[in-house]
Amino acid sequence: MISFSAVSKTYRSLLGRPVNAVIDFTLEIREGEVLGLAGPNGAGKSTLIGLLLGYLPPTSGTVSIYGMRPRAFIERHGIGYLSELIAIPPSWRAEKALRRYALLAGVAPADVQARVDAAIELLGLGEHRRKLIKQLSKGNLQRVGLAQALLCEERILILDEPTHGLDPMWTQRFRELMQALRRPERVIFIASHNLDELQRLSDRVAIIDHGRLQRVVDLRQASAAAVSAPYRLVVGGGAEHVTAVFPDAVAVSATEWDLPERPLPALNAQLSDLMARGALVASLTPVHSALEQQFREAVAQ
Amino acid sequence: MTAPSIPLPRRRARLGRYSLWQIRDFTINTAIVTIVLFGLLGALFIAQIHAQTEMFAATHRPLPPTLALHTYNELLSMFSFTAPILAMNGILATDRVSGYTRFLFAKPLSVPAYYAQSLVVRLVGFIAVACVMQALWGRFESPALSWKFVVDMTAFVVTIGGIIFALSALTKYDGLIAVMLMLLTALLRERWMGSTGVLHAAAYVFPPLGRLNDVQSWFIGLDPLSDAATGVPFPTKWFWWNVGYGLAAFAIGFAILRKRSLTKA
Repeated sequence: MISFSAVSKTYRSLLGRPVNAVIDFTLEIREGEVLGLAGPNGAGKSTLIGLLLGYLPPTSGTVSIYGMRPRAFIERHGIGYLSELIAIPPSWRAEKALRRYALLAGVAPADVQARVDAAIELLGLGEHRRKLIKQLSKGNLQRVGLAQALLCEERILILDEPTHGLDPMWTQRFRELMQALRRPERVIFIASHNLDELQRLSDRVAIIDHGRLQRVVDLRQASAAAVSAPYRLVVGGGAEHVTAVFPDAVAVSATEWDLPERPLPALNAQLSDLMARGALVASLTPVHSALEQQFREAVAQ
Repeated sequence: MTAPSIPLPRRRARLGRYSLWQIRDFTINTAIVTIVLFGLLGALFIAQIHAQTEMFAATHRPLPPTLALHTYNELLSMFSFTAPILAMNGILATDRVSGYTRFLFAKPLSVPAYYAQSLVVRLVGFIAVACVMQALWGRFESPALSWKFVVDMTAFVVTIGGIIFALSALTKYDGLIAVMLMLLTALLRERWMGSTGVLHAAAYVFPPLGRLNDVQSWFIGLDPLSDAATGVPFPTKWFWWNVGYGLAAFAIGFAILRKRSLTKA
């Protein structure tokens, strides 16, 4: 339902020099999917979101939502959008801002207060509802931004750096919220620098760099990809046996070692040997997540 | 095209209801400031008229019949050329430059419809503020509030407002450039009109803003040539020249709005 087809966007600098922000980008996003968008700074993520919202016209190619141009779709149905920059007039109060956005989202005037109350409750903004926008902390402002995106049951949610500024408690709450927001008919599009967050929340992650789509990582099938990754081993006892079993291990501390890549059967056999010698394995985790590894490779290309 | 698995309901922004918020914004951000500013200026001008009256009385000379009208004309000119700039400044540019467009236009909302409503609120709001000012001034030394005053203010706000609207679609410096354009108009239009060739043609780029004073003279009933309060015919040509220029500028503003990106690059 969301389709980027050979989309390019070129800006002109003040001197008329072309700057290619997005180059020949093609991607389909299906109903029910949570798609992550990752890329280094200046990779073209914000431009892609601008194109998807119809805020910027593509230089070539087409962007469509259910076959419609983005502006045509949004003007008929609306979209839930959280921008990276939360821009709300600073003299508005949080609750009144949400009441305004609810009216513009098409909520019947009689239902506005109930919807706003529900959003405030959901995002824990009760004690901040009467504060001016300029008085809110970054995290609270981020929650107001999220609240305005969730005022209606939107079919499409576009969230740009959604956990930026949130404290650990609200980051965790946001993850739970994203799980609750999943619907078979809903598309959730999350752009983030935070690969750990994308790994937790997304079904697929599109990695973009220098305006080009480098690869799409399907995290539902990516568990095997982690097998050949380097691992970090932490032992709770019997540390003296580690180098005997893993001669190539690199000590990080007295109880931690980095193990270079190896096939999964070999790793399991060596771990069995280590435990048979009396070592207590506390944890074994990939040094880089599967997504992080893919990201490094994609960006290095 | 992929059909949605569940039909998508059509939604519409409650734009009519939202106009109450726009009226509130105009009142807080513009109307109160304008009323306070020109209320104080009006008090100064009225005090000046009273001082002149007393001075003439003290010297036992008769007060010239148009003196008070001239002073009032100065005050009204100041208001008519300045207050529309205050009312219209940043109408499009502020949202785009500050990034407010991001949340606004993710809603089921037509961009031209939103700004058309914002424009109507500001135009009507300006005329309402002008009527409040005139009702205040009219209690002292000026002509009473009448339909002629509404026509006069409409000419000013449509002409100057149109210019600012078109500029606001292009740049955040809309108010400043509008002031510069008005100054250039005052300096160059009449001079270039008298020349030939390219300069004469270029003169038509500028609106005949100076001729808005003719509309004002018609309202006040003060003939600037004879300096007599004998009534002035309605300057139909100059009214429509200016209002037409303003309306064309609104159309250009909307055309630019449709083409321009809604956010900063």
